[in-house]
Amino acid sequence: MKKHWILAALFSISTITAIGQTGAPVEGKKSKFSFAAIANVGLLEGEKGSDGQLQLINGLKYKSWFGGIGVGLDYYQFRSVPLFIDVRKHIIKGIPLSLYADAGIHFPWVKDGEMAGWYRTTFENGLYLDGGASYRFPVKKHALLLSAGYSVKKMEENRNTGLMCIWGDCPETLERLRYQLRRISIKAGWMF
Amino acid sequence: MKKASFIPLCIAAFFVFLFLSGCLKDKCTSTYKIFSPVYKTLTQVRSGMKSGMVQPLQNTGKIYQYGQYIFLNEINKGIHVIDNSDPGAPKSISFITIPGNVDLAVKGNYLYADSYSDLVVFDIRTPTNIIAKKFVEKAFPDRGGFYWSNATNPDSIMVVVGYNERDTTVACETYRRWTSCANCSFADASGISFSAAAPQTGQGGSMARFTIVGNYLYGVSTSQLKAFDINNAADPLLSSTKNIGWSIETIFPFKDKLFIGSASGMFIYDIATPSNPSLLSQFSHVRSCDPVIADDVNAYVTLRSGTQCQGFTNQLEVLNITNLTQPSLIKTYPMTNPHGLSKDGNTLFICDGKDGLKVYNAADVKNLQLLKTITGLDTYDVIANKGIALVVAKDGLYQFDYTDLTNIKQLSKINLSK
Repeated sequence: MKKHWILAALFSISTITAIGQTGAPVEGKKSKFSFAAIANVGLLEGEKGSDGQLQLINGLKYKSWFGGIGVGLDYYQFRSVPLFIDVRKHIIKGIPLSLYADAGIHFPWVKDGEMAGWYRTTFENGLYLDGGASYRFPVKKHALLLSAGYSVKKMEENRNTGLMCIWGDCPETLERLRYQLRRISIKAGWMF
Repeated sequence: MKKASFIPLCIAAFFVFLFLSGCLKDKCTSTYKIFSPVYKTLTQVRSGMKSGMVQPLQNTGKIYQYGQYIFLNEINKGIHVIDNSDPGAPKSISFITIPGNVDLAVKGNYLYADSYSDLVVFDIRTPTNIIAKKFVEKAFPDRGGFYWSNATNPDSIMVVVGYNERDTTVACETYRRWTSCANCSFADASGISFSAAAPQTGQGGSMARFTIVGNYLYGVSTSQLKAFDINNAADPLLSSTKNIGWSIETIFPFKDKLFIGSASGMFIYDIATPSNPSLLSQFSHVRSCDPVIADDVNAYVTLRSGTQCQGFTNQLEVLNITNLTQPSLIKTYPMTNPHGLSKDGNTLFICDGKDGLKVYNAADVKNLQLLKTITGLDTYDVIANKGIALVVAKDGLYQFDYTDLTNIKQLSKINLSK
C-alpha cells in the first residue's frame, strides 16, 4: 500500500511540475533550454507475451537534444518500477524522427500472484535498458509521439524452498534466479 | 529511394530482424546448491553417542539440573554437560553427541535421552566420559528418524549424518528432482519429556516431555503417554502406552500425579500404580501451547500463541486442584507470550518470551504481585530451586540469585555462539 502512495505522489508531482513548466524557457538571458515532459503508455511484447507499461519523463530540451529523468510501471512478467535517464536526439533535419536511449534501474513491485507460491521469495533491483526510435506529430504547442524500441529488464529472485527431511537439521535450500527479459517496446506518448 | 521513406523502412526491417533472430528470447538461470547426503550405519552412529569435546551453545532447548551439573539440550544434536558447582562461573565440561535429541532426564548414574525414535541410556558416573549403555529401539515411533525403511539390523540401517554441498547453475527450465535426503518427509520435533521430582533424580524445566518419578520414566509424545520401568536403571522396559489426546506438549510430576499440558487443556493422571497411569480429570482451555506446573493446591498453566499451537491466547491460568477430579479456574492473568514457568515456595517465575523473566509473589493466587521483570532476554524455560533460577533464553543460559527477592541479581551467563 505504501508503494502505491509513493508512486501516485511521484507521478502527481512530476505531472504538475511538468505542466507548470511546459515549454517554459529556463530562466536566464535568452536561454535555449526549455522544460519538457513526456507521458507514455504502451506495450511490451516478448516471449512471455504482451504486458503494459507506463512512463513519465521530465527533462530539458536543448536544440535537437532532450535529456530527462523518467519513472514508470513495467508489467512484463513481474511488475516493477523503472527509474531511468532518458536521452533523445532528433537525427534528420526536416523529419520528426528521434532516436532515444533509456538506462536505469528496475525496482521490483511484485504482485502476490506473481510470487512462486510455496517458496519464500524476495526480489532484487535490476537493470533497465530501452532504446529505439520515436516519431513526432506536432499538435499545437505539444506533440504526439509514437515510439518503438528494444527493451531489456534484468531482475533477480531469491527463493527459499525450506526442504523437508526426516532428521534434521534439514539443509536450507536457497535458489537464485536471474532473469534477462527481452522485449519490443511500443509506446504512444504525449510530449508537453 | 527517397531518404524520407528509407529511414522508416530501415527501422521496420530492424524489428523484423529482432523477431526472427531470437533477440526476444528471455533468459533465465537458476543457481542453487545440491546436497548429497553422507551416510553412516546406525551402528556407527550409536558408537559415536558419547561425551566428547565441549561444543558451543547454538540452538539450545530443554534443561535438566542434577546436583552440581546442568544438562542442556542442543536441539537435535546432543547435550551440553555443564559443571555448575559455582553458579557464578558455570563451565561446560563435555558434549554428548546424540542425533535427534530433544529431551532428557537423570536418575542416579544414568541419563535418559531420546534419539529420534530411540530411548538411549547413558552412564554418567564420569561426566567427561559418558557412554551409551542401552538403546531401546522405537520407544517413540512417532518421532520417525532411523526406521524409515524396513531394515531392522543397525548395521543395515543407513542414517544421514551430513550433507556434501556443491553449487550449480542451470537454465530455469531444467527439470530437477529434489532427492537430497534419504527419505524426505516431515520431521516431527516433538519428543518425550523427563522431569524429575523424586530423590536421586534432578529437576527438569516445565517445557519437558520426559519425567522420572520413583522407578518409572514417563514420557509424552504428541498423542501418547508412555511409562518405562527403570528399576534396572540401565535397562528400561516399556510398561504401558496410553493414547491420551492430541497435541500433547509437556509433563510435570507432583507427588503421585502427572500434570500433562496439551494444546486443548491440562490432564491430570494418577500414578498410584506407577506402571499404569490412569486419567483423573481434565481441564480444557482454548487452543494454545501450555506448559503446566503444580503444587499442593494449585496448578499454573501458561497459554501462548504462535508456532504449532495455532492459538491466539497469551495468559497465565491459575487452577484450584484441591479436588483433583474437578480442577477449576481461579483466575486468569494476561501475559505477552508466556513459555516455561517454575515455582519455589511462594515465588512464581514466568518466562514471558521477549518480555523477559517475570517474578511474582504467589502467596495469594487471586492477586499475584509482580515483584520484578528481568528484561533484555527472550526467555524459554526456567528452573527455580533453592535460591538459584536457571533460565534458558534465546541468547544463552542465565543464572539469577533470588535469595533476596528485593535484589535479584544475575550470577552468570553462558552465551550462545552465533
